[in-house]
Amino acid sequence: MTETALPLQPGVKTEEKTKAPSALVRVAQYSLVRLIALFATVVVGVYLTIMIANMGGYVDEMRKGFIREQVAIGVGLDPALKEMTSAERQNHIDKLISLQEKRMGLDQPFLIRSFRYLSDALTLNLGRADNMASDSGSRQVRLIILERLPPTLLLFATAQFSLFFLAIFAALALSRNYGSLLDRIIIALAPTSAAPSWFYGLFLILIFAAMLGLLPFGGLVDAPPPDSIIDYSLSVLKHLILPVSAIVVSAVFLSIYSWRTFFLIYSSEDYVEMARAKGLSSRAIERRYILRPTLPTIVTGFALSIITLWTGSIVLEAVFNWPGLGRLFYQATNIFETSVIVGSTVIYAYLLGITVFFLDIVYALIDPRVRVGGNQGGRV
Amino acid sequence: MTVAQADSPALASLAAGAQFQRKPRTYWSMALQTLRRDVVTVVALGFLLIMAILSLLAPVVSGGIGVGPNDTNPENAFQQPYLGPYIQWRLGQDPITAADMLGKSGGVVHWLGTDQLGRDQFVRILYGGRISLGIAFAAAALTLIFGVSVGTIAGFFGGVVDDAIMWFINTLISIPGIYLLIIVTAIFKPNPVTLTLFLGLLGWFGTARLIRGNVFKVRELDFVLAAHSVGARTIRIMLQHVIPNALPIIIVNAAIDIGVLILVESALSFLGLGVQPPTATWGSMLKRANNFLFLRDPETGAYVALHLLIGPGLLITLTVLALYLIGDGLRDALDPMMKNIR
Repeated sequence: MTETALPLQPGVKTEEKTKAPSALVRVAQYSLVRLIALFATVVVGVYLTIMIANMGGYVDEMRKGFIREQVAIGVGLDPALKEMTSAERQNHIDKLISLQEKRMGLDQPFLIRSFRYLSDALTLNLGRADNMASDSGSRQVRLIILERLPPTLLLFATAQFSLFFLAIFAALALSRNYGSLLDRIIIALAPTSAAPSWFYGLFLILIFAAMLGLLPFGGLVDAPPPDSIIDYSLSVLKHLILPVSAIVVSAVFLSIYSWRTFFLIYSSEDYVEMARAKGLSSRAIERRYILRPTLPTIVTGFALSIITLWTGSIVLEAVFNWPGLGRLFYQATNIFETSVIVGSTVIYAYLLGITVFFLDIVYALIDPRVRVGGNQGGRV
Repeated sequence: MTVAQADSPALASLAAGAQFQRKPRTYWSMALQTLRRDVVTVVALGFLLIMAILSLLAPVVSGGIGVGPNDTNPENAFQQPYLGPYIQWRLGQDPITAADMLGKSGGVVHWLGTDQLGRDQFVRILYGGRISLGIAFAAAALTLIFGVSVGTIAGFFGGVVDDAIMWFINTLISIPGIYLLIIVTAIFKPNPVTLTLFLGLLGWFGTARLIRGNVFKVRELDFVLAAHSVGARTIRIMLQHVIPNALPIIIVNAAIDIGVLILVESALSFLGLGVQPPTATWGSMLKRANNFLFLRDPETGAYVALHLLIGPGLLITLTVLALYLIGDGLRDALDPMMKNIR
């Protein structure tokens, strides 16, 4: 913190210029170390998921049993094999089973397979689902997930952006009118954020869908889907209102409250008083003296809220029947569809890792106080 | 006071006067006094206490009403709450509806209506409260035990131990708990005890991190050094000096944690992964209600199942809100720094 005073001293500028290339190297070094650390975390997380989702190998026993049953039924129904003696038939069945197990890679011990699953997952080679299919009928896990990704992104991007900007602007307005009636009302409402979004979703459905009949209960579009693109998007918009408001309502008051407090702290700094004394307009003060030093925190808040709300999506999507990734994950766990569970976990882990990585970089870029690489060894 | 006595005899005599003599107060009695002035927290505590007592007394209440939590009566499915008609009857506005409903239910009073099998909502809510609150409190206790012990060990020893533990915690904390819980509960269909274990085992990471930070602060203080110097053993220093100093944080954390755990349990039950039916929990009642939300009376066209959602929904909201407010109030009451402000 004390180093922040340095740039004000004369003669520092020239020193900074000569240091520039090494700073770049430092940023690169720092990014690399962060990247490796994050990747290690992703690997461990995915491997844990693989172990749990396979129940430590038990799912494969289930798959083997399923193969045995299928083969036995197939052989029993095949008229060409009716002539065989029971020993011959047993032999034939065993051969088919071992062939099928080898084809699915089940003949190796689970520990070895788990590492193969891990490398497949990390290279996004997600394989095929046994019991699930995409709406277009494909069994490719990649296609199943890709089909569910757009609705999730649509819902959470909309909710996230509206929540974030609403909270920031409302907080700025409140910090200007500190102590007003509206200010006190918002603060009193802050504990409403104790309940999660799906919970508000239930009540919003109860009020606006069941009691008032204004909006649909859930789903992505009307059934049957409208033909024209305009009608289709209008229908999607109509279905989007309730889930988005559930997310916004569940978080908005607390986030307005915390941003407002945060802005208030910064608006009582000496340099803000100075700017006021100079007679600058309140807009200019806000833009140059309050928003600028708080920018890193605002960016962090934005990235963190994306991560948080991603987590809450499973139950919210279940409540609103939203055909997104969260519900896919939930459906997959119910039928032990390991490939889909691992697939969506990997996607999630990568998204999370990338978000955190970019956050680190952006943080280092926009906040001059973060002295990148000053502490050697990648410890931040 | 001693300073005043040393300064001047006049001040000393003033200070010795009865009106300036105050009983020495302990930290806890001061906290209690602050708490007593805080109306919101007291109301929240009262609400929670009433809910807990009602849930504990669920068998008595259900005996009084004359219907068990799993007693079905298909003839009387989706009966609306008796409460509204009863009030109207007492006010003399509508004597027919209440009597009509009583006749249908065979003399049993369904204060909050019945579900799709004709089970009494009120009794089920009370029994559900036993499970939901019980799981949340027990799991919070587990979380505390794991979190406090691991956090204290990490913070107290520091160095390699701390690095290893923190790496482990940071890795696990970056996997959202609900994902792990969904996988685990889908595999082992849990009963209340195992669900408590899962929630406790997967929920302590945040607590541990919080405690560790506090222990870092406390272990540098002089009284810890003094304890070391008189040869106190590590375990004694931990139990006697370090953990009691983290107690305010632990208590506040526990209050908010219980609320979160109630919601997590409801979320799992809502997905059908919590305690399995017919055992009532607030979450599974919500799920049931959500399934029947669309249901309309074929004759009148009115929705018949809305009351199923309102009861458990409101209770979860109020309970979680109460716990949150209690946590908030305790934070103020247990913070010695706040005394100067008030």
